[in-house]
Amino acid sequence: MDEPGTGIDLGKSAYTCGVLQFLEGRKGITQYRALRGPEYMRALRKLVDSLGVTVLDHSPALELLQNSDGLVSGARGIRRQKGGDWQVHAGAVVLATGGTSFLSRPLGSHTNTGDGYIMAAEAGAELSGMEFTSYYTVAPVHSTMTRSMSYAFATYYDEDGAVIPMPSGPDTMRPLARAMLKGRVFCDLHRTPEDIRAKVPVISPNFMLPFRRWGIDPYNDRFEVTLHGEGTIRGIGGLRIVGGDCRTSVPGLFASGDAATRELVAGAISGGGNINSAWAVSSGQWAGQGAARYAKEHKAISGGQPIGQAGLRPSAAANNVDLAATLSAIQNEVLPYDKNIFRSGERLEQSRTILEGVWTEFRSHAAGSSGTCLRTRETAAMLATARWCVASALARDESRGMHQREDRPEIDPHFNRRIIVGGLGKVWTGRDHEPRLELAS
Amino acid sequence: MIELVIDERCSGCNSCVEICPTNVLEIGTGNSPFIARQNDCQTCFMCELYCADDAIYVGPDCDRPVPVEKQAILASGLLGELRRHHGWDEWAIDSRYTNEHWQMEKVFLRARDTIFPTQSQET
Repeated sequence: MDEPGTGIDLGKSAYTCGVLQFLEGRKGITQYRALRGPEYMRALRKLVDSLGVTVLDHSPALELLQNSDGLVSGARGIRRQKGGDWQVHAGAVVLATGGTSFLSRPLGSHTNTGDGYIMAAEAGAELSGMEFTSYYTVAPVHSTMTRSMSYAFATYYDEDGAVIPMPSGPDTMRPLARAMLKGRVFCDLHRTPEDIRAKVPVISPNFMLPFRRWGIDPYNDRFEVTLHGEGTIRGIGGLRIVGGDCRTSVPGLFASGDAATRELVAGAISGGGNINSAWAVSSGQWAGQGAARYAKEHKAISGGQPIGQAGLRPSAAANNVDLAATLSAIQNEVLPYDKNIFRSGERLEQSRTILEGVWTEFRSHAAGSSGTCLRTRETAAMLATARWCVASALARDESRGMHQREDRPEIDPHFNRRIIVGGLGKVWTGRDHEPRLELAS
Repeated sequence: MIELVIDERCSGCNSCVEICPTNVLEIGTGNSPFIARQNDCQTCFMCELYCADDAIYVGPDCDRPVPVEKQAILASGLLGELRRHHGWDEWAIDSRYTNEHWQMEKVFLRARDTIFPTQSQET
């Protein structure tokens, strides 16, 4: 830092770049990085509306359409407020369905159930980096408020009030998880400098909200914290990208944002909210351009058939599958700290066996009715995603980045490759031997 | 989880019905929408943020409903706080609430330098 304080005395001149507003900071440099979630989502929606794009709100996609040549040529879903279905035949499809944290509790993640992963896999696409799904974010217990910035100044305490020693550096997740496996963990933020306390509301306007409503002063009072699993949200696995236009290996199918792997921009570490939001906006542009170009070159074909399987079209007689119990079974393999943060081959094998059993039952019999069709399909997507995560974590027989195997604590140069995973009935893994992909800059 | 839609404040725009990602609210027969599926609420606070009338209260507990007294919430000053701190709508021209999210990385650097000063000098 070349100056005291946070360096905050803005000229307050605002610049509008399209629909997003950026501020000019010190030295007259415009800060093209105020990508705060609600603001940039609102801005993108305004942009889309201003272009005259038809948007179907509250209309989740359930499956892709594919023609006999293997081209993805549309999608189908439901309209949960207006009622009925929708089906669109198109020259290309971009999946922007997000990742999944398996309905753990990161803020605003509850519709992120990995639907795009299963839809793409049914069309024949594969995923990459699904072992890099072991990132967790701290939050006050019983809250969704996974805003990590203020915790940079945190002091953590065990149940007896003793300070939990933290290593220097940014990695507090693993020592916190170890402490939480032993007992409850408490926190205060008394080390936060006064000038930063004053700025927290304009940087993270929701951070103080739970505390104010609970009557807690986080700078003086101790409050209990937990770690919410991030899956592929702040983790970085997703659909494998095989071209600079964010195409998948399936013709006509593109992926963007958390639906796509972010190994291309984050490597084996978390993309956090920072890299991941930049990736969401950038990959969305590349995928959109790629899809538009593809659709122009390939005439829209109307003969595509819906290809959804698990949770939509059971392979045997449909019967009542307990969705809540299925979700618990999934969460119990991919969220506990002792299974997913501190991984081992033996425990992963156990998870694999359990998830295969759950899958066989679910694939055979689960079929939603009108009220449960979306949640049934979402559960299928999370179940498939959990299987790919576990298979990839087994295939990467080493420790690297956020993927840490207690039985393989070292980096192994043999694994300087991406782990590719796919398959529904039978999950397979492989390694990416293609030359490193260069994305447009 | 969402606890209140305050009828006497609500103008009936139904923005909350549209913005809720998990379809918790429904357009009502009277003036204001109603909480149709509270258990589906994920506690994301988007309905509050999009409520220009400051008529919605979301409790911070995401695990269970915690009923609140309407009069107490009306008197608490908490209604509309999130929208104000985000600098939305009429607050957009108020420089106290300008979006300074871009300062986040400076805060992380300050933490590194104040909590672990030795290490940052070495690196």
